[in-house]
Amino acid sequence: MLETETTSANGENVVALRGELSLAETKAIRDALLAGMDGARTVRVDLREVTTLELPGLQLLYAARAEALKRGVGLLFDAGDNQARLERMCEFAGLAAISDVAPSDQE
Amino acid sequence: MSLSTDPLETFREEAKELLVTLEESLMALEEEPQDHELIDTAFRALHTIKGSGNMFDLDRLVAFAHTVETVFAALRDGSLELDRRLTDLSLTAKDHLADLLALGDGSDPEIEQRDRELSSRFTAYLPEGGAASAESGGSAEADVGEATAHDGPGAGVADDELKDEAKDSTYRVILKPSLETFRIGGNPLLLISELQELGQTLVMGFVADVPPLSEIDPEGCYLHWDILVTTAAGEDAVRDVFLFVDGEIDIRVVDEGGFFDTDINYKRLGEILVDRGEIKPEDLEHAIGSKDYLGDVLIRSGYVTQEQVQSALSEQNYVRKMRETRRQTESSSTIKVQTEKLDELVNLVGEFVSLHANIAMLAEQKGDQDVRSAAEQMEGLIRQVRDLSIDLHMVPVDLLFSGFRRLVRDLCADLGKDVHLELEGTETELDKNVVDALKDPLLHLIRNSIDHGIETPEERSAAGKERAGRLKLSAYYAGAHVVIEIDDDGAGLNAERIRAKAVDRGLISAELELSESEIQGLIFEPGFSTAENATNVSGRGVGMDVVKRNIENLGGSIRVRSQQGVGTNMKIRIPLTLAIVEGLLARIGDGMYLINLAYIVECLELADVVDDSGDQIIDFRGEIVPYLDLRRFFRLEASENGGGQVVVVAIDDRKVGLVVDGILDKYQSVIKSLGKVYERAQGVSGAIILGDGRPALMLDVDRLARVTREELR
Repeated sequence: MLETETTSANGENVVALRGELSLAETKAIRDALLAGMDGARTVRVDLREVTTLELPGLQLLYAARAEALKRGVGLLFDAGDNQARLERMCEFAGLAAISDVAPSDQE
Repeated sequence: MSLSTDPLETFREEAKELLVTLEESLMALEEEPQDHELIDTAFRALHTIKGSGNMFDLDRLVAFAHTVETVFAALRDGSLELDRRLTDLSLTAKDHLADLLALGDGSDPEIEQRDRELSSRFTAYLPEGGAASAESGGSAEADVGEATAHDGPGAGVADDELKDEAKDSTYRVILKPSLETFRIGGNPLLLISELQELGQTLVMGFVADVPPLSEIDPEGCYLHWDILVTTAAGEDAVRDVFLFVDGEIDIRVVDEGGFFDTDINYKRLGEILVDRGEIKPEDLEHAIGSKDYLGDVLIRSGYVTQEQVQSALSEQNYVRKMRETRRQTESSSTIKVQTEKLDELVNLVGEFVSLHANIAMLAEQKGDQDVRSAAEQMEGLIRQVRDLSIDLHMVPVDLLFSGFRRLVRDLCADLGKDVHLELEGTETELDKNVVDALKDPLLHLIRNSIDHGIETPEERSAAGKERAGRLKLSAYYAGAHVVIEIDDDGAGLNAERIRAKAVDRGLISAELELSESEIQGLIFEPGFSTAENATNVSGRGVGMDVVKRNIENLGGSIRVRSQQGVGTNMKIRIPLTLAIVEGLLARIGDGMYLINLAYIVECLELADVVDDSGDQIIDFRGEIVPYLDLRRFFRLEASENGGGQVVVVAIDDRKVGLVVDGILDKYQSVIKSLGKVYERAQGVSGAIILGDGRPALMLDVDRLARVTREELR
């Protein structure tokens, strides 16, 4: 199960993903992240309440980075206590750590 | 003596070591739950136990190890989080594995019931109660992520045997799962996990083919990998991992791991890129002409991406390191020897030392210059053999100390206390037999410290202390001894209560004046207890006398120093080895006695230093030192001239003199036990047989020093 919530505060959109970042939820994750980026200068992805993290879900976070870079949108990941877990999965898979994207000045 | 070479026994010994490793990792994970290396170590221990157990058809052990291992695989890839409950369960699993190991292929309804319960509790941690096994599929190239190296199965019977039979080779696996991989239930992480079970790996993941969100098929797989795996299992085993993978797989040997291949260098960057098909040989030729760094030239020219260069460099570095490690391993000459064989060696060397001492003594007595000269030449050689054999028998006290982490943890859980255990000087080495013999006394002291010494968090807060107590175990060398201290910051001993109890028990008279330290020493008297509430942890104090006696049986001593409200310090002094003692041979009356050289400061003529006041004291270089006339103590008649020599000994920097009739010579020997009949004899702790067949007694210097000081009072 995945629950998504998008809010705006202090000039940034916050997309909260709660529950499972699993294959079954990939469409919902993509849609929530894309909606959060619409018209935003900076998007904060709140991963603090993620309970299950699977490779298809992780792949979408890289896709979100690619989208943010394409749009010139700032992208921040806030994993809180899940940060170590996120890093462990990236390390295990030999993948680059998920890093933030600074907003483009031209926007 | 017959020594077991039964492979099953060897496996059991190896498995016990692995269980110790597992427990240590779990204990450390409680402090550092995110430490990947600790999770890897625990996983490998479980994996090796499972693999080796399989060779001996220990089905129940293998099945349970597999269940726990599967949970650790999930912890390793980040899909499961370690919490306190899972650590507790894993520690219970470790105990259960030890029981299964002891049970072998036997049967025990209680263990079998527990097996079912624990297995189902572990399975509940897994999604759909599943176990690891998988497939996957593929696509393109680009962004190299964090290349991660992992050790494979590591130590253990099965793996070591494999390595004996086959050489380690390194394979490069290019894994490009198909776009459909996720949709058909494939999971590349499980493939990586399976590869890691074969040996050491370097995993390089690529994310540059992952399209932006607006273009992605959210269920498609765009990730791909270059993986290096070093294994002795052979190419077929590597291929088997990818048997059902949907996608592109390319597997090539990049390093054969030849035994005689001593060249550490691997291919150059350009060769690797050509080898991978990422650059044409003619393009490389063209780029090599430039003076700039080849990697930069290739990227600038658009032949390869930065990530491809980075990946090739990672491969180069990995293979070089692998070759270097292999060379070091092949040139090392470590072998495992059963401790019984070492015991036998040390005993024989001890007898050899005694025999040499006898020959030297006989040569001296008979005035045979030739034999004396030969004996002197032998001495240097024997000393080397002795030191080497003793050295072989030494083990770090860490073997002893680290086992107490679990004890402290479990006691804290039982008693509702919070105690931080500190270990210091764990590299200090002691005779393995001494280490074994110290286990029970230390266990008892630690239990006492946590049960009766360190307060509950609430009591500590009320007393203005940190809520968590501190228990420190330290070891260090002091001459021919090792000192082990058990130090806590608990409530300390209550001298008043100890004294009252001692009077109540009839151990001392109510009028007897005792110093604070002497009162504290009463806790070592048989049956002494001050615990208001005896618990099932440390009992009723019964046992501190046994602790003391066990330590004294090892030729050691124990002291307590405590300050009420501040803490307690137990100091154990123990000889480095029990095998051979070097001493000074002395004559008292008609008898011969050996004084351990480690205690001796100096030998003097009694008449030159004795105080004329009639008190039993001598003037030792301006220092007043009490002495004990051993002729009187052992109720022996002094020699005709009535003079004698005083041997000044020091324990914990406190000196006393021991008066004997005469000093003969240095003497090395194996110390024999006095046996049951004489074990309570005062002032002696063992015996030796001299060259002429006469016995000599080993003086218990520690006890005699105490008697000397008590007599002075």
